Amino acid sequence: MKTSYFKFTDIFYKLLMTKLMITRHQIMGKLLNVSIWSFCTLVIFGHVMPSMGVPGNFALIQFAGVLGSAGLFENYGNIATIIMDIAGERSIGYYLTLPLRPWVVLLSTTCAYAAVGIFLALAMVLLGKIILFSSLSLMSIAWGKLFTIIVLGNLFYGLMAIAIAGHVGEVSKIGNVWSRFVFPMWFFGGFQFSWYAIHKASEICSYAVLANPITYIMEGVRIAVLGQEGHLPWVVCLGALTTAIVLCWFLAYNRMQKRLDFV
Amino acid sequence: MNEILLKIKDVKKTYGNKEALKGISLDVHTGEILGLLGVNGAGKTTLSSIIATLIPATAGDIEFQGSSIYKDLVAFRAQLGFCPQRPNLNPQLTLEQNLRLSSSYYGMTEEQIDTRMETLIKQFELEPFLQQRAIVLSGGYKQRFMIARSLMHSPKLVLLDEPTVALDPHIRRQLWEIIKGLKQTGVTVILTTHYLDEAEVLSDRVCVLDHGQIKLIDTPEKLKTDFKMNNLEDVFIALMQENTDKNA
Repeated sequence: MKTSYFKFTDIFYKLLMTKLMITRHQIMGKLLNVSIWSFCTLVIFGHVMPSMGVPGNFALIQFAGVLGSAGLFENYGNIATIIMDIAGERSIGYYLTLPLRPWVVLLSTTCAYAAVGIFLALAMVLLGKIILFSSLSLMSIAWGKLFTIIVLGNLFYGLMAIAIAGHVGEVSKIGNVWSRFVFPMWFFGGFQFSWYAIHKASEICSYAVLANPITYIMEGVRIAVLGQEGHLPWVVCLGALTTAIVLCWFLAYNRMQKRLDFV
Repeated sequence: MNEILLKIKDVKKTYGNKEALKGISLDVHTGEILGLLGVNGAGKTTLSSIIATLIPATAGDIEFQGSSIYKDLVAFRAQLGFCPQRPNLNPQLTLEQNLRLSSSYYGMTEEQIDTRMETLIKQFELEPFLQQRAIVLSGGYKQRFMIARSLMHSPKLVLLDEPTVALDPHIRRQLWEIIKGLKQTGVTVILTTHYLDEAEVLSDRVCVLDHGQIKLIDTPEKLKTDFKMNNLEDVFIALMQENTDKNA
């Protein structure tokens, strides 16, 4: 008789807790790293750039960009961690000999990465309030939407890290991943502008960036923080991001299976 | 000889055009220590990785207690303890946490974990290190913990992949005692090694692999008698010389 899939929920939970216990020792460092980057961004756009004619509310667009990006930067670091593990101690190999299916290992890893990204993103709300103070009203944030999009966004980032790690395979190529793939994806994903802004500038470009899942994360966060007006429809963001997560799951699984040749 | 626990049937593994295993068939009996020997690249680690279900075989089958492991991999994995060549304990966690968490993945209760841990800690003399992190341990103690971790869920079959590689001689001897002790507890062990003295001392039978094939399989005593040699190392050298002569 085949082992019940229900049994995996218990192991999944324990693996997730293990990974979070491991991350607990690094969380303050991660928080500091994201805070420094977010602090610099928000101070410059909230307090320096307005003196150069940039509208004051642009800081809020940047604030939304920071919330949407925190998990991306966190997970970029995870790519190197996975590659180094595969090349070195292969702790993933240990998990693959446990009484479970490989997808449980990949799913628990993804969720652990996502959980850290979610924590960091939500912590940046507090930092944003401190820096932007009266410009940012916490009461006007649609918290349900914000939480939903941050959870989905970070699941996507977690899967993207696994897929890239499975594809790249060498730590020495990590720099290339940033320059050639992650940075353009992030920057054209609307970290600093809405989709309608790029649509006004170039229709072709605007349709091209619709293929970029980060666009939906940034748009979704901005809808939650600034409201629906001037952004892609909320359901489009949710639908497109969910589709991207499903596709990225299959890609990540496939890449890791090729890389590790697991059963 | 005891009943067959694991039956490896014509297992092949290819990587691109390279045949790493060219049809391995062998039986592993309950309670024995089987030494897998061979020079680097002979296929030892590939075979042990296939048995550990880390990688799939390209062809062939493995039966555990009479049924194919691929029919229910999860059930087989629950009966398997794997100690890889490179220690991969979680360095951020204490050693007690490492042991406790690894047991929890097998569905053990806290009570069962406590009892099992107490036994293994005594057996492997791990008490002073339990609250330390893996990163501070010497290579020998890391391996002790790795073997202890692989035994926490009381598996029927344990795979030790070169457990003493790169360790000092006296540490190796200490680990030998631990591995000998496993036999007394009734655990079946597949020991991958390229130390012939180790295989001779520990193994009930040795299986010599060469270029992905089994060259011979028998007890160390029988091999020494057949080859009229004093130790397994001389047998191994004679065997390799035979191969060289054949290929010349």
